[in-house]
Amino acid sequence: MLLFVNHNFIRTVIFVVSLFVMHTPIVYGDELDYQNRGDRWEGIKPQPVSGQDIELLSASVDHSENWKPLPSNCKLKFYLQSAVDIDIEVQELRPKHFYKMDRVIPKTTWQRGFNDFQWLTHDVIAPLNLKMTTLGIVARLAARSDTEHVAPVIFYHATPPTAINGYLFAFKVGGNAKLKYAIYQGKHQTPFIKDNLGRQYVGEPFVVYWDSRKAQAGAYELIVDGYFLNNFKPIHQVVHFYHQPLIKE
Amino acid sequence: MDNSKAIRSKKSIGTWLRIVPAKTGHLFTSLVKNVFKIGVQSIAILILVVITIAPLVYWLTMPIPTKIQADLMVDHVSFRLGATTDFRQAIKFHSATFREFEQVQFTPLNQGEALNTVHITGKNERLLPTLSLTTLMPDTTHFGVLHKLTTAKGAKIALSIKPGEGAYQALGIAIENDPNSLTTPLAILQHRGAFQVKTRHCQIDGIEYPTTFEVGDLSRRNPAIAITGQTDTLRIMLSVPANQDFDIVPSGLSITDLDLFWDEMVKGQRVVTTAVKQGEISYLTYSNVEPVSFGASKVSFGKADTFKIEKITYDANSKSLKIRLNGLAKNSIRTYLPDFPDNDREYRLTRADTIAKASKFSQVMFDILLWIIPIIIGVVGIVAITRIKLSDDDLTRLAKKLNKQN
Repeated sequence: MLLFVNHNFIRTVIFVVSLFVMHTPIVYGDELDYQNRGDRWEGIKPQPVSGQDIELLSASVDHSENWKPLPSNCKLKFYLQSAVDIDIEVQELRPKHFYKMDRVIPKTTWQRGFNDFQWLTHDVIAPLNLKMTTLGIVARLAARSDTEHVAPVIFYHATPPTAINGYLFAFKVGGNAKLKYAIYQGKHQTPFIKDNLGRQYVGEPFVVYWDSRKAQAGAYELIVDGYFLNNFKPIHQVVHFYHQPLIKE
Repeated sequence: MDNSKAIRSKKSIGTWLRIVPAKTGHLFTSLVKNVFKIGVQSIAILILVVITIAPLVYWLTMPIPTKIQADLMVDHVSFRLGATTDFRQAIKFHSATFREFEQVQFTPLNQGEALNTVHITGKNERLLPTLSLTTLMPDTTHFGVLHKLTTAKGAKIALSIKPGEGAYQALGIAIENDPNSLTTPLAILQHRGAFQVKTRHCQIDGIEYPTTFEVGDLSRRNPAIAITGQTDTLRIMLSVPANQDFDIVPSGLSITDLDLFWDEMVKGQRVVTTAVKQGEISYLTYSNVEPVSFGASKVSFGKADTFKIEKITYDANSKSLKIRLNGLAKNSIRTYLPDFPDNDREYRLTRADTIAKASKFSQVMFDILLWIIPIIIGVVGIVAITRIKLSDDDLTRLAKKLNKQN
């Protein structure tokens, strides 16, 4: 009797433990979580950090495409003056799902000239039903700082443009601020263009648009400056980028 | 004679030396056996009492659906509407900014004559177009009133209050429509006095227009400014007087979800901020139960479809939003400090709480019964064991008798 009870008891324990072990990945593992997808890290990323600052959310080329129905692939194209390491980051301009894609591993190292990268939408983008027009993309040539060096990105799925006519730079401030911006060409002291951004509110993204149809190829510098309204702390964000007006494959 | 006496005394000593340890051992063994028997029987009775009482204790200590009223002071709240709602709380503002809108329209006057209605739309949603309205009379504390806000059932509304400029606070209203909804958000404003329109990345009646222009007055036939949201969203930021209380939502607002924290993305990382600064939970049906207060905490209401928002008010004193919720807490209501998520507290009452707090008589009766029931079960256990033993003894004696006879 004792042997029979022990045997049954042991079997029951093993069964319950097995259920728990099998069940744990289903309950606690999530396919949409931020994780390594082979050639990139992508998913929903929850980690707490905060600060009063200005942040570059997107440096992209003005190019519109219809994203409905959602294509199977998203594509990026950007120009590099030399072969360097690039850190690509994709996130929502106004976070709703906290989608993030970064730590991209290209099939070949990034080259001088135009580079491409594409990734599947079915892993994360499709299940989240993301609005593609609200995604911000930054390709950084160096770590985040007050002076950013970026390669503006063409975000598309079907056909890239043949020429670049404008750029969108999206920012966000960590506190209510009064801002203005100017774009300088090369080492010129006189801005190519300047304007007032007025009052920008904490957490609300805003876009600086530059119509580059009349601009020559070359290095440019976007400066966004101003001050926080609560403590008059100065804001000064510089974004260096290279304008390559003609796109070659 | 002496020899036989010595021999007899030697024998008696020897016998005594043999018998005493044996008798002591026998006594000791008997004592141990009896203690063991008593111990086993006591444990058996204890197990019997525990098995009998445990379901009752479990039933008494399980949290039950409880009617509560929660008063919370927050910086941010979001909820999902249980029904299509028109907000008509007449919120005064000094300036207003609109984002994620489909169209803004109004009919300006020029020298008493109504001009054509102006339609302002965003050029391209990728440019994040904005439109701001500001009074041209700087001393005016408010020049506009958010007269009406129409939202659909299932829409998620997020309200936030943040410090603004000077004597104003920034009230944020974000509407996120249910994807299946056919009703787009609509805001109607009324104004007094001349105002300035400032646009970014917008176009007016399909043509380029100065990004900033002034409006003296609006047509008397159509004095309102109408802002139509995009199919799925509309965002409004109102600069409101910091020193005036005002209601924001209608009373008895039915909701299905409630969030008392907000997340944002900062430098690629998600920031989760607790919105509750302080709160109090009162038990409407049990006036004898003291309300429970808590400080800045994470608060979870679970599924909120059994709750109604009685009011959301801007409180000038605390520069916060005050929320009053009423409803039946079917799911767990918990508060915990952000850094100690495992140290939480449940706020629903248990049956034991409700019985104890019902009246003095029931409280005393309940306490007495809690003692008597286990004692009775224990006594029943002892009697049962004794009867079984007696029956065993009877059987043993009967068996012996039968053996003798045989």
